[in-house]
Amino acid sequence: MNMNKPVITAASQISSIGAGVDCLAANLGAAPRMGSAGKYDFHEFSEPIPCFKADTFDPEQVLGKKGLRTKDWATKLLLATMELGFKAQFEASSQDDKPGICVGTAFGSVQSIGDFLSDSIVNGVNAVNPQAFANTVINSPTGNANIRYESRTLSTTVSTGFNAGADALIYACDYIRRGYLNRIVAGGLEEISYYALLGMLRSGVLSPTSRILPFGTLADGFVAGEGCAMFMVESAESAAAGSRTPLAEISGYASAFEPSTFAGKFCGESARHCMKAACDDAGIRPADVGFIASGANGIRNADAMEAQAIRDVFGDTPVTAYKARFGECYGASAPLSVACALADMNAGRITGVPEGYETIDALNCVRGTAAWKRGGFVMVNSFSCDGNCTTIVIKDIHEAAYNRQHTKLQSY
Amino acid sequence: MTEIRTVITGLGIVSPIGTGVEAFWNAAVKGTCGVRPLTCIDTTDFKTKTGGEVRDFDAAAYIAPEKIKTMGRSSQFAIAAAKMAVSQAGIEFTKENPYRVAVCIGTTMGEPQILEQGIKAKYTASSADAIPADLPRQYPCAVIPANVAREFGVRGPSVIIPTACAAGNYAIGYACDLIKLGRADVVIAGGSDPFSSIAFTGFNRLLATTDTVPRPFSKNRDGMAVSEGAGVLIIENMEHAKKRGANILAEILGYGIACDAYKMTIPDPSGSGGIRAMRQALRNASITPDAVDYINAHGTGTKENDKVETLIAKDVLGERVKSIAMSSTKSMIGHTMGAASAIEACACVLMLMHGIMLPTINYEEPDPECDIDCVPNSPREVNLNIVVSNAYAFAGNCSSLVLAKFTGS
Amino acid sequence: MDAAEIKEAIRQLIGEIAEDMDVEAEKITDSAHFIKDMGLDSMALLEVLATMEKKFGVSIPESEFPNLISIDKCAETVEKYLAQKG
Repeated sequence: MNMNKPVITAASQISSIGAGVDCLAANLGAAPRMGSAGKYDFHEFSEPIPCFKADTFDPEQVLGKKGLRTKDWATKLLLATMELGFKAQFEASSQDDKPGICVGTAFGSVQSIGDFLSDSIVNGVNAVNPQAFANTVINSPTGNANIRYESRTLSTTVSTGFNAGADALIYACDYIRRGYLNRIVAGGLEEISYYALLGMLRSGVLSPTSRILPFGTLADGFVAGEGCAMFMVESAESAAAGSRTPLAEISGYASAFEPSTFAGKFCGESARHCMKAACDDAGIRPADVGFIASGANGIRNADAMEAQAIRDVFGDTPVTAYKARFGECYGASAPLSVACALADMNAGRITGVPEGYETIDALNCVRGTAAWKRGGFVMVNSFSCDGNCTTIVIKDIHEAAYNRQHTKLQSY
Repeated sequence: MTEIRTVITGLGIVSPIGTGVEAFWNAAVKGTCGVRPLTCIDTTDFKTKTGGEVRDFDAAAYIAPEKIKTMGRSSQFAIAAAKMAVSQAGIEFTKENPYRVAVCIGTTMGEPQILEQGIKAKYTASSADAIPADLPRQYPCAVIPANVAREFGVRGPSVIIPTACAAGNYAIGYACDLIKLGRADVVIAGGSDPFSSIAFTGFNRLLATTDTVPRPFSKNRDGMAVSEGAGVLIIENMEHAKKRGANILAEILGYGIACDAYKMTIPDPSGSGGIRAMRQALRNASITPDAVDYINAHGTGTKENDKVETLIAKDVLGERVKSIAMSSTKSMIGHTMGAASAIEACACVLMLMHGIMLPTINYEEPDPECDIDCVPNSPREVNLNIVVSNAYAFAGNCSSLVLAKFTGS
Repeated sequence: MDAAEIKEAIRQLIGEIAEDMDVEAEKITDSAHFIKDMGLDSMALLEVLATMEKKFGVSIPESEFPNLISIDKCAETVEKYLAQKG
């Protein structure tokens, strides 16, 4: 066991904002880029659905031409994110020292799953390509990453809906603390798919006005997005031994479940507990949290629940909602929020929601950009319509502060 | 620092040879074959006509009627198995800190029947409007542990790990980690999968399915049988279990997980992932190969799996492999996907409790490449103390779980 | 479809699969063994079988699977079952 706090030493992301963390940092405050989804191999939307597409990279350019023929979009998105951020580290590691891989995704490659079924219905069972079956298991993108980087140490997928990415980061921290491994590339992945979009459309969660207005008084739903954000999570000792300077410390986390949240009704009891428990785990008081990256996405009841819960626990602490920038990306949302928080922390700012709409009174919701003093704590929340509650507290690390800190580390 | 110990206080099983722990065990010691001609799917266009089905499942026996229609078959199985396990454990959630009771489930396909229902409705009506508005929210696999947690009103972490056919072991392993890290006192852990036409189609297209019944380790074996079911265990912090006077059934000493990193649907012929996982499991359980009394195999009955699994056992156990047995529960229940290693963990607890090794049925012909004692066709009485249960999956996900007779503190 | 067209269609499919699996161009010949010479795996062979059935509208029994080990052999098998179909 190693109960010291794990650290993040590298980050990578691909979203509608762009590819790579530098691109994210530079463009986070820019006007959000929306595309649309219309025609697919087996199905089509009568009206294209606005969404935030992560078509900001060329798979062949990032990954090369070989080995991609039978790989689906979700897999390419994950592989490209990992290639951009961690290829060198994987190549430099020996077999027993390879970082593990842990991915959070709500749906996996549901486009592949639905198409496999649609193909068998339309063309008959005997027309289906056997190779396509491999893409229908939710752990398929992760497995493809393990194969590409020859990582035998760990391959896990976590699938807790909206919270999947946050829970994957926590899984990685737990695994490291148990002493099984020192380094894991962990985060979240979600693709835009016909089947998920159709589900969202039929359930009435998409904004009919195609706007995503977190905490908006006139919010009427969300706009879906896709993306992938992955982080090198490692024990502090491993980072020090490898001379890798942490970007941030994962100071604390908690997850909980709210039984009363169901079918569009949201209750804040477990959300409040979760945020307090994460602070306790981090050894801090609520007042020590510098700002909160909420999971607000324009579903009014859900946003109102989170706003009230934040108000109850934190009072006036500034709040932002990064989903306004990249859409509701399900399993990728929380890790993308972490990536945005790292970019903001590093720049000494908070990128709030875009200007131009009215937000709930009760909340100190940042509009545009606000200044922020480096070295403090940031909270990232994920509260889902299924009742899952996950909170992660990260700490900004200045290099100097880290060096002073790591000489005092103990493990047992 | 003394590590927290994780014990099992309740079991629940839904399977093609019996729903309920007693029904399952009675059928299993008799060597009952649950792989039969399928009734839940039209097999006309498929090369294989057989599989495993839970034919007598009565959801209303476990779930209020108005709730049944809000969830798919996988959730229903999981709740049923969870209720059995909770009942056996004698646990009253009103007396527990609800935030310290977690749910951790493994699955392969999640709620595939919901997706199938939706897509078929759309094709039949030529319109997406034919999909009921409350259907989509029943699909994401996160609903499975959520439905279980909601049923008991518990508020701890609710997790789903979809690592395909090894998912049960991954979920049980993580449940133990949650307890050992002090994040939970009790975890409702296991795996669930309903019969999936996607899985059935896929395995048929891979030519991986048997034309009759699975014959693990037999020379004339011709493939696996797609099946369904759920297995749930109540896993607790030992001190917590003792304090409330629970009857402890067995102990989980540790687990190991690893990855072949070879191919998506073909196991590494050298067994690298399985060897790594089993070695890790023994190390994490602080035991040597000499302490292992029995292995519950992944044992699907495909040519490749059974051959590689034999290799893995020989590599890790060395000479010891000649003195112990390795049998396949899948010979009886078929391959229940994400539920497999959860049902098989329950079976291991029962074997430890009763001192009986379950057989590998349908065994006809020894295979020199699988020259292990697979307890052919009849169960065998043996005093068991420590057993290992393996599970291997697509994407090269490999796992081993170490269970032991509870010896007290 | 005549014999030449069948062979060309199979050549194209194998070409695609082999290129993606990084097989050297000179190894991709009509008589080369898919596994021993080209290093393709059983999944690729399954795909070849499935694609041939779909493209040529034939049903090839599982027992033929071990014979499908080169472009020449595949073309032969397809022609055999096309002829049987009448």
